[in-house]
Amino acid sequence: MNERVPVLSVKDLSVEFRTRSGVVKALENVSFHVNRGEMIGIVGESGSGKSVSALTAMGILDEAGRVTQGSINLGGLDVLNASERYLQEMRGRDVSMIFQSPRTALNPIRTVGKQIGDVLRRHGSATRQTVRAQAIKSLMSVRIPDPERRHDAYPFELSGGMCQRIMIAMALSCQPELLIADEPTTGLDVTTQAAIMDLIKELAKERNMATVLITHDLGMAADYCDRIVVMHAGHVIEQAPTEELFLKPRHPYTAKLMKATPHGEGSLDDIESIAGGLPDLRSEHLPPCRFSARCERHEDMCDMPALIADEVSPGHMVTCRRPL
Amino acid sequence: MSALLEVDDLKKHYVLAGQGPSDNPLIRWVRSRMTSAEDHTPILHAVDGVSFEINPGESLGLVGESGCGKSTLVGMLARLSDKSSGSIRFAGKDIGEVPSKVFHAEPERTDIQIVFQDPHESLNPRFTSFDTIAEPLKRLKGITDKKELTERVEAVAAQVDLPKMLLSRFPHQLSGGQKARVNIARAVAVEPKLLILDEPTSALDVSVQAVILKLLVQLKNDLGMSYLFVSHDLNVVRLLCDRVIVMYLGQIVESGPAEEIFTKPAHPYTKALISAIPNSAVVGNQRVRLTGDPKSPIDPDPNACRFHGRCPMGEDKCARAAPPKVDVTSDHYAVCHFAQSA
Repeated sequence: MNERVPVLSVKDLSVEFRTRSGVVKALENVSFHVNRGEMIGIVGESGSGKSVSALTAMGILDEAGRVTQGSINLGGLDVLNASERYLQEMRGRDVSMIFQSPRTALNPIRTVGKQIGDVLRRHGSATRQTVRAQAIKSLMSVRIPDPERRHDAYPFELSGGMCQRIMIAMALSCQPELLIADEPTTGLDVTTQAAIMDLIKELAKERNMATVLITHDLGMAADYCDRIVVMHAGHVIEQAPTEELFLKPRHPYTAKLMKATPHGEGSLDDIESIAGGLPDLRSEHLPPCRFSARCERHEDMCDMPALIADEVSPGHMVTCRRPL
Repeated sequence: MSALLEVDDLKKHYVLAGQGPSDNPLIRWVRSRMTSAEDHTPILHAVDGVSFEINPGESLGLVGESGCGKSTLVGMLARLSDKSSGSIRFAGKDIGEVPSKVFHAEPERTDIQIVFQDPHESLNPRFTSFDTIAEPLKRLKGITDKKELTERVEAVAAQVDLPKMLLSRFPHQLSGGQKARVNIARAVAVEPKLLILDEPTSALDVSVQAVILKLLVQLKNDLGMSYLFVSHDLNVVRLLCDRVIVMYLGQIVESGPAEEIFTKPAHPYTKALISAIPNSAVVGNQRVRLTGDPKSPIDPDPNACRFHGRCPMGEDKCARAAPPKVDVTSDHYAVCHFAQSA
């Protein structure tokens, strides 16, 4: 496959949720892509639409959600118009997802080896005779010590870090081309967190797999991702190669987010919080720039409609009328 | 200066039930005759000989991974659970001797308050912010007069920058940052001398984390409290704390001034913790990564280092002798065979 053809490309995606108290415009004109062998990070506060983007890309959006416009292309497949049967084939084989809190994502009353075996039998080449050996091989690939014995362990017998390794083994057992990791390390210790992220990075490199890392931790995205997509209130507000984003953030929100994150040196005076919260996404009259109420650089021109992403330098897109 | 809180050789052991010999002679007889159960009772060493002190006005950080005994220790200090042995002296009085069930009647109940982890879960969903903040004032300060109560609650709310109009709201009507403020207001309402903060910002977004941290620093200066700050976010600990203690499997492995711990860690576990911080410029490229999981806290070998097996520096002697306590500087020590004094 051509290196430059994206494994996943999302274009102008808008998603709404119908709730009892009104229509929530969860995503609006979201566009991003992931190339083969690349790791991108989607960063933002809770409620910014990170997970909804990922779920829509996998075609597992909640029933209350509705895609109003846009397209999703996953390795040549039009996800939004594909049949459910075809999507089921694709999930697990071409694209996999790692969820947060591994303990709740695993089935508590099936041994972990059997759960990996389920994926292998459904999507892989395993038969009843070979499934055990293949599952053990998967466990070995995520560096689980004593895989023969762990194969028959239940999730409660394993530590949080170990459970997350099982999730990774399960997600990668059929050699997918795209891995979506939704906050894979929340709830894990810093030391385990580092080990899990190293493992994901290493396996992705080994298999030349595309990876989407969803996180609210800017530091973690900086450490592991090649490119970062920053989301705010359902908009992609900036995307750029990691280094460039950290050296020259152009959107005021990105800059503020960096200032709010504590990092190594410096005192408490160096970190600043971001005033205000996300706007109510149910409102009928959302401003074109959903950050405008929290922005110090806001001017009248910001309220003009049709705000589009600008390419300020190659690969660096900013959705702001008055970038820094 | 005498310390506000002195903890000496504090231990919490749990006897694991259902195994080994029992106190009941009949069960013992049956076990010895009918089963091949080992003649030994397994004991879980949750907190195993912890000693430290907190001075008035000081912020002490407590770090360590889950399962290392942080919460057990906090529970004992806040007198919500009882110790197995050792002493907890608060302002000169051994409060560890008072059973936790009757501790609420002691005057020290007011002086030690705790802000619990996760503001979303730790507020009573059927209490308005006002009720939540008023509860300790009624129970511990004995304020019953409605007018006085209202005044006090409003004063505390003002202290934590909680708008008055939010006092009549229920937790589900508040944002994460507002809930965190209510939680802090509840704890500081009775003007404690020691405030225990159990991961106060881990459930919050970065955008609000900074405000809450600044609020905590300001409150400390205004009210002259001491903080025990439990967290696994080392960047936050570094910002807020004067001194840091690092725990591993129920024991303190390193203790010292915050800046020194972060720039010159002496224990290999501390080094691993610090190099695991995302985007840390401290250690640069030479990352220390840990493999495997901690050993079991059940019946640990007293003659071995508990970190042995995961430690990148581990040698034979680590498996044969418990590591000594080495003073790196006068107020910085590490418990390791390889630690050297500066």
